[in-house]
Amino acid sequence: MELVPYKNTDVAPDRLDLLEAVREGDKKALATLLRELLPSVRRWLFRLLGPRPDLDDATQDALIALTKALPRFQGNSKVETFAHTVTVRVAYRYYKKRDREEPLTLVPPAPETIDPESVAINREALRRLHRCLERLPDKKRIAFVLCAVEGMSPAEAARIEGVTSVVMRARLSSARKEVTRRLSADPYVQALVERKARSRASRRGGQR
Amino acid sequence: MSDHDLLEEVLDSARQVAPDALSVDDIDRMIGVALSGESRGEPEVEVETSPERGRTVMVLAIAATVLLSIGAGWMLRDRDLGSDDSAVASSSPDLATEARDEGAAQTAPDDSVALREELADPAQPAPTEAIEAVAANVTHTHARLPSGDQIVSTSDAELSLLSVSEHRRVAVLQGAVLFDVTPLQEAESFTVVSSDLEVHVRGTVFSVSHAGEVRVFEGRVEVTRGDQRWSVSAGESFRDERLVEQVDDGPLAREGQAAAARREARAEEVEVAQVAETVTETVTETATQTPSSARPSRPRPARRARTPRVESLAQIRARIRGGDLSGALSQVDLACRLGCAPGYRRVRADALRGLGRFEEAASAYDALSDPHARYQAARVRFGPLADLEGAVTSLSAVPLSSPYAERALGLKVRALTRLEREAEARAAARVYLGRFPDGGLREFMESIVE
Repeated sequence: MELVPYKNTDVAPDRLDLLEAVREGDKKALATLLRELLPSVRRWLFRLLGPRPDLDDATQDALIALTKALPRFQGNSKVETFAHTVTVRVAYRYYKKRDREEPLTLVPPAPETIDPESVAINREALRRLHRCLERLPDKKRIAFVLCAVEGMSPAEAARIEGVTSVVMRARLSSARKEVTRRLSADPYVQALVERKARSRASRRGGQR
Repeated sequence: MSDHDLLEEVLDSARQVAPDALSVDDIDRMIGVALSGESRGEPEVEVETSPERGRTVMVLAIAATVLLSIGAGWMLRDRDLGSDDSAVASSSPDLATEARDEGAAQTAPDDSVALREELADPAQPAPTEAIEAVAANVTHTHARLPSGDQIVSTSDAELSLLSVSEHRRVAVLQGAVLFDVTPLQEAESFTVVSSDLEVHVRGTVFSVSHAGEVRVFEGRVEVTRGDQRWSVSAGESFRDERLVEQVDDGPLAREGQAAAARREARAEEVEVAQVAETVTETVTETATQTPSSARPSRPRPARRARTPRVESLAQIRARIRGGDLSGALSQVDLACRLGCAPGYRRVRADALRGLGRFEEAASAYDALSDPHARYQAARVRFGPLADLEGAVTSLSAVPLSSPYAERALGLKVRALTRLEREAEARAAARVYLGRFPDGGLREFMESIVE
């Protein structure tokens, strides 16, 4: 089989050799690349799926998917964008599982430098946010996470999803409206945000 | 805080949470599993890596669609031409599914929508599994707060404990929740928040749904929305800003009635214990006063008093509707041995009015001190008792924010006119016109003002 040369437009120069080796079936190079991508993949999945007990399973599935997909990567985009696309596909699969069971999680003690109340508030806010997101259609949910949570532009998110920028904007707009409506109807969220503001104000007062 | 700011704050919080870090061993194991090519039984993730591959996939998809269409056509042809036996065999599972579906829908009317959605969702594995999952959800969830308050929720309910201090505050975010609140101390409060309603209680049994329905099974609660306030008594429901008589259905009706019955039984036990204590004290006193030659009588433990069964508020109301006013009154008196909940007091007032004991009825309505009762008291005084001064006094206690304000103002103006207190009648008429410019008594009020 004749190998097609990389376009290499978006791939960082130091990764060219690594990708070339991966294409040629070098397992060591693939392991190195996976190790580099793993923290990002796990973070993306955490944001896409929310706090779920099967996050480790999803991470493992994403790694398996990347192992199969990376040797076929043509270099049309950054490696991270390609890995993100694969991760999003894995997240879609996990949305369909819709596991409702939420076991109690052991929260590790926060370092002394971090305010434990803020940590608790942030975790609860994340849980509430994902409770809203679970009620959205999967495509809108992905659009919201990519753009609103990850901070991508609609054009970047559209490349990951393989749709046009206009479609992504429409999904994002609809998702934003729905999430805002649900969050503003949740008195617990309002209480959390107020608590957060008070906590922030007291910290500022303490610093003075 | 605007909705936009709220969303940004939540997103800001969410972005700060990171997943738990993996250990080095976990990372090595995961990468090892991935490289070994072990599949976890999941389908391979398809990512278009090149235009050629995309085109190939599209061609394959078109070919598969054509083949599927041919196959489906062939199967339908077979079905049309096939024997009756094959038709029965193919439809039996569907019939079984429908039967189970109906069963689930009957036992859990609120879950029927969720059931339909789950069945319609192609992501669900199989209809049978979906039905079983929903059927399992039919059971209600029971919980107890540290303060002793009991909570029963429907399977789809979501609630948040906003505060568990002396001032307990619970939010019902979804579904319906029944609260059996232990009697509160002076410094305590218990508030339930649902959509735009707040329900304040002082030890009672009631349910609140996210849709804004409040049903009281025992005691009384106060419902507030903005600056409006309603008092809901046992046997009543609050829905769409109206008080309606409770019907014996709903997701938590049975649990609510059972909890109310348990409370009643507990109250009886307390009463019996008090009686037993009194008897023991009396006997002890008698024994100490008895001469030493007389044999002291041994105090016997008090037996549980046999109390006649008390009818529920709904049953007593049914008596009133059926014209058995004396029976209703005796039942209310029986139920009020230990203390009368407002629901019973209201029924008592209704029965007294029906029996023509207007003076007692008016006093009973006034004692309830909610706007509806005050208006009823005023009507009794204005009509049968011809006590216009009393009617005006009762009506003065009806706030302008209550749903009875318009009728109360109308009656007040008429009473003041008959009392020839014209200045006050004009002032009340002006209030009416200002508050209800399109009210039904507008012309009458304008004639008074002029």
